[in-house]
Amino acid sequence: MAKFGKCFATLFLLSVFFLNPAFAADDLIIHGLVSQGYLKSSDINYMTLSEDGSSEYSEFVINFQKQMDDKLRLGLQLMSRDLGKEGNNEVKVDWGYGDYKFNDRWGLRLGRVKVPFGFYNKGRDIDMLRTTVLLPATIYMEDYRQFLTAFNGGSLYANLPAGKGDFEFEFAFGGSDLDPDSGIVQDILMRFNNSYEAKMTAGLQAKSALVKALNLGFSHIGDPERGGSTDNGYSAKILWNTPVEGLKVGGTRTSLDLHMDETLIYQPIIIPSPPAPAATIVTPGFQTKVDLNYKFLIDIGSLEYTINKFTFAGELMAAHGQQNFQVAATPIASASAISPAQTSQGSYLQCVYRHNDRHEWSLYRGEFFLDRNNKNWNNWQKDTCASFRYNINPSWSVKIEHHWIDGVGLVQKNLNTNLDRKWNLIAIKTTYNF
Amino acid sequence: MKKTILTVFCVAVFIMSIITCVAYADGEQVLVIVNNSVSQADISAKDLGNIFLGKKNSWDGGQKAVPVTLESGSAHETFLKLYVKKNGSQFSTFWKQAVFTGQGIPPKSVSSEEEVVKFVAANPGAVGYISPATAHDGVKILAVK
Repeated sequence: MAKFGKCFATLFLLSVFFLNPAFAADDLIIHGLVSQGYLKSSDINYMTLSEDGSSEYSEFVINFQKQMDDKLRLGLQLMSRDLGKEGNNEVKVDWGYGDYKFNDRWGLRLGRVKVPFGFYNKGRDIDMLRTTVLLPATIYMEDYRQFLTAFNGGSLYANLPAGKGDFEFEFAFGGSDLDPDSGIVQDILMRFNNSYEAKMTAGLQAKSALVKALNLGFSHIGDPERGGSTDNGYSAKILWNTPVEGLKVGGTRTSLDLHMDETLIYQPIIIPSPPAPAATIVTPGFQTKVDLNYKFLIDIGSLEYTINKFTFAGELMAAHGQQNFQVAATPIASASAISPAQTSQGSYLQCVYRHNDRHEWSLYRGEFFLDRNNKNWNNWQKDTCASFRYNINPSWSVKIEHHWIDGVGLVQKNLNTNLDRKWNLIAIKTTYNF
Repeated sequence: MKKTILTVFCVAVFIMSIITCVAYADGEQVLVIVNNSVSQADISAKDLGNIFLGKKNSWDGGQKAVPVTLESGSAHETFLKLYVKKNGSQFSTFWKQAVFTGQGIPPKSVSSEEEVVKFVAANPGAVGYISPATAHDGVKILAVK
């Protein structure tokens, strides 16, 4: 249904743009960009198989906008991206909506709208807007991108003057896409599967010394069949462009409600003969269904100060996650529910220096704790990043950056078999926009 | 190694702050011109800047405001510095962000001051800026408070 809705919206908007003879073609604004990146890391695969070097990091964006009258504007942006398991160059609607401005202060957008998460989420895929290749992952977690990029819904927004400054408000609402085969969904369910199977195995081994001696246990077979959706999300933003020139402060609150499910299949557990007098079936083969509801509430405080050639930025995030796994009854256990909760914390401080129209430098330090009450290197990620951007011309840029990273709190576990605490990442990207 | 890089960067930031602060004073001027249909005789600097940032879309009487910008040049940089509080690069990035995040459509941009005058003269509600020495027949001067 969601796919049908997006296809319909795309065709509708394209037909309005291209087929309606009432609007002259020179009123149609078209922009786009193409970017290609390269990631190389030491010891860890990050977002893609980067340990061996990976060029699976590209974006293609094209957008169309048209001012229909004084109040109504239509816009559509199509995007294809590839980052490891994410995207795979499938063309999707990045955003597309009708924007109606009631007056200079208030407006309403309906369609697929960008989520105002922190200061920079809306432009996270638009490489030429920033000096760095990667936004600080300690706030802009790449794995969570698919939940946070855009809502299929709408947004109400306002810009209210306040003395020499002004306030910007926005309230976006709706659902978002959830790719059940994406790395983050696999990671969340894999963590549950591992703990669920360890718990079942411990119970089984406690009942039978022979099972324990043979180290028999539960391990699902095959790649689980997964599904997923999100809905009832919202994101609220308040931003104050202060009377101090170049200084803005703000905050966002984002609520997400994710649903995932999977079917796990287990083979019978059999004690062979020998050591048993005869082969004995301990548990029959079975399959069970796992349902996960995952609620996020994410608060971010942001500050940016631009003075002359410098921009200083800092953001602080607290993300409260409440998971609720429900497992259907199996031949060996009745239905059960597990509801772990944790609060993650992220932050960074950044300094950008724009030497001239061609050269830009950036340095940032970010820290992320997956569970702020359980701080260890498996759960944290501390990232120091130095970047350089060279603008070949106003439309074409090249960037390179080096990350010194401590911890693996934002590393996809399904991409790695061994995890090292200290590792490095080099990211290179070139982007052309028109 | 990491501490050394941080220290060098911080020292460089401090030095460059001082250099760039000293390099900013000047006394350049621009003329703000509007189409003859615009009834307003003056405007605040903040409102003028907001028109070019897409935050204000109409004149006080309700007529649609139609800004036009120069692509580059000293009049462009001076106008942005005085009224939009951005330099050319920041202004360009602001509108690229608006375009690619769906927040708005940038003002029409032309390559010469003569084209600015021509556009403003021909389009009701139009507003642009030129150097004081540029001929500006057929348009009105808008005073900035």
